[in-house]
Amino acid sequence: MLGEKQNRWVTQSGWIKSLIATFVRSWDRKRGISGGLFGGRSKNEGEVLGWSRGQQAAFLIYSWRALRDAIAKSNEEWAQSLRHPPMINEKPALRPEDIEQDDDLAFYSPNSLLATDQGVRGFLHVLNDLFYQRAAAMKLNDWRPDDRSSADPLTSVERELEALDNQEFTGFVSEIVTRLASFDWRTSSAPELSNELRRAKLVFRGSSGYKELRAQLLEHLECGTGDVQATAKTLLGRA
Amino acid sequence: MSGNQNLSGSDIPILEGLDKTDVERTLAGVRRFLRNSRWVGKSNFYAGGVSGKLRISQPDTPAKKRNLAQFIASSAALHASDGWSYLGRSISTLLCGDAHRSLHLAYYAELRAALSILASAGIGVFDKKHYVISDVNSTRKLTTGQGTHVTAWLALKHWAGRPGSGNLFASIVRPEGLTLEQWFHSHGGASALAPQAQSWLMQWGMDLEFSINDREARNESSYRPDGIPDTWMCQPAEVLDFVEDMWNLLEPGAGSEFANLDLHILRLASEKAYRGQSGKTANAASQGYQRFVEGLLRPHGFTDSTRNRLRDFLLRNSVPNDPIVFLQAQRIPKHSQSDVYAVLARAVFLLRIASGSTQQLFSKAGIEASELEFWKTEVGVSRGLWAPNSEPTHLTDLWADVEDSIGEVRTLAASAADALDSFHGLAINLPGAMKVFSSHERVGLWSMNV
Repeated sequence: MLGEKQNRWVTQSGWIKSLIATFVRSWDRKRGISGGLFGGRSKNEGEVLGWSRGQQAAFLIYSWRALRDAIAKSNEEWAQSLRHPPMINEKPALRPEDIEQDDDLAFYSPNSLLATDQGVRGFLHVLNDLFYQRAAAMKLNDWRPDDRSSADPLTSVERELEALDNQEFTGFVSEIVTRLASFDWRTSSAPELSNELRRAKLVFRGSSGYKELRAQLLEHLECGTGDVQATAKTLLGRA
Repeated sequence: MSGNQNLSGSDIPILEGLDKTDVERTLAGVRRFLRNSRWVGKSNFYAGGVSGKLRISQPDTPAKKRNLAQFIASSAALHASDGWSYLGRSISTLLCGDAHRSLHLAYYAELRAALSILASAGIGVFDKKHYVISDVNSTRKLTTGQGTHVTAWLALKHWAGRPGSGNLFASIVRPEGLTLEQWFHSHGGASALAPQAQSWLMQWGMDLEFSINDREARNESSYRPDGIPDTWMCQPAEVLDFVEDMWNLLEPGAGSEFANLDLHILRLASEKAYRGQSGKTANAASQGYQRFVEGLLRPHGFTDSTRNRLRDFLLRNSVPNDPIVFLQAQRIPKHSQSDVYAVLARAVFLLRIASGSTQQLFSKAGIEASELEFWKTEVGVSRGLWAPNSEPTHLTDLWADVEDSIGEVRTLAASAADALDSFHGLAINLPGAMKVFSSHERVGLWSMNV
């Protein structure tokens, strides 16, 4: 989007495109892929998620915060290597100027996939697909919008975020992000990658990266446990 | 344009009587062939050697007329796609430093865009025998016997002067997901924009006119040896700037397949409309223009951040300069290597209109993306946009390759600028990026929403 080229972060346009490609896409019977949780139509006829915009926004913010917090708790090798980049000329590598001191480099580093279009889309994709698959079982429609929400959409997001804490289905978010925190989110340009790993990560670059990252995230989730593992298995067509 | 080159007087009422719904309904009849991965039926008389067959005889049966009408309707998408291909090949040769060949190819990108726009309007240009879709599945011959290049320009010029072109322009250009018609609704909508649309199209198509007036000059790029009087040379930095500027304009957005290009058109349209309305030049310091811009923004219920971003842009407080492509599109050819930029720029604009027009035609004909899957795969795989069986879920994802390539150029420029000082350096240091920069077929696919 115009005027956004000055920084390296995922642009507003990139976010919108990823949301359209995941949470707000229509279910396509012919292609047999998951629809968007906010897409207005469901695989199961008659089931339309009745969440307000405030609830939708709150769910996305809640989930991203949960992923950020899960990664912050992670001591996986990939996360540590992004937090402690190698010395340059025997001096500590400079922290990028656009990252706050308290922010976790494992999440915000230019070498973290989570700061790329592909990473943003990847997380949104699997989050959407897993929730879409289990929407009925988790009775997502039981979460009703706050009656006061319609007046001011922005304050309604805050209210819905508070309300989300009491929803059982957030346990599924926690399971997903906990498992995803152990995925190696480094980009191919991260320092100290072996040649083999760097080559393997090149698949996340460019247009093929979106599909590839979704597939690898689902495979990673499939190796987990519980409902997350079972749902990922179903999505991969292996159930 | 020289005085003796005009459409035949008897052709004018035929062109003015064209009904776009005839093209749409004719194209709808092609859907049964699309299901068999073909654009026209196997037995379509004109499927091969159309120009030769029309030279020998007119379509003299209802079946042949239907065949020809279906050929014309289907060719809108294919000419547009070919035009994007020519643009890519032109950029490819420019990135090799060969402005002479690049100009030749850029001209054909323009011409194919014009042929696509005309086909969408029901006009088929075939060598010296030209036909229109005069009814659903039927055709009528035009009396003009002039060649493809002359006829394409004359017909485009005539079409651009009709109200339909302004309406088309106002409905396919969609800055922020809103049509120009919606943006200017309170200022008269499409009818207020029609004169602007006409002048823009004429400007972007100027090269076609130029080629009629000065055939020798066009032939210079197509047939004369490069080197007499001088070899055409261009600078790698200038070429890279132009190519990057062009690609930035072609980035797809959520609300429009040409998000940035359309926003720039909106800004120019806004300034022109204000000038037309007030007689004053639009500038950010003018309270009158500020009010005008607020009037454009107010009805659409944008969030504060979006409204602020758009206001800054429209008032030129952000991104104050027009892109290079916009500036080049206004340049009159001067018989030199710099002409290539002007021709490429106009090709981009004409192709933007051709893609939008085709997309609208598909939509009106009820053709869905799934019916064009075969064609999308043929183009995508054969031009190397993706590996077999690996097509992207969303065609706009193909933008990521371009973004990565722009990133590669910037990274190299920051770390080893001299690596980009020569065309040899570009070829050796950025082979992948040069390939991606020359692959405009991807724009054709995502912009026609196939």
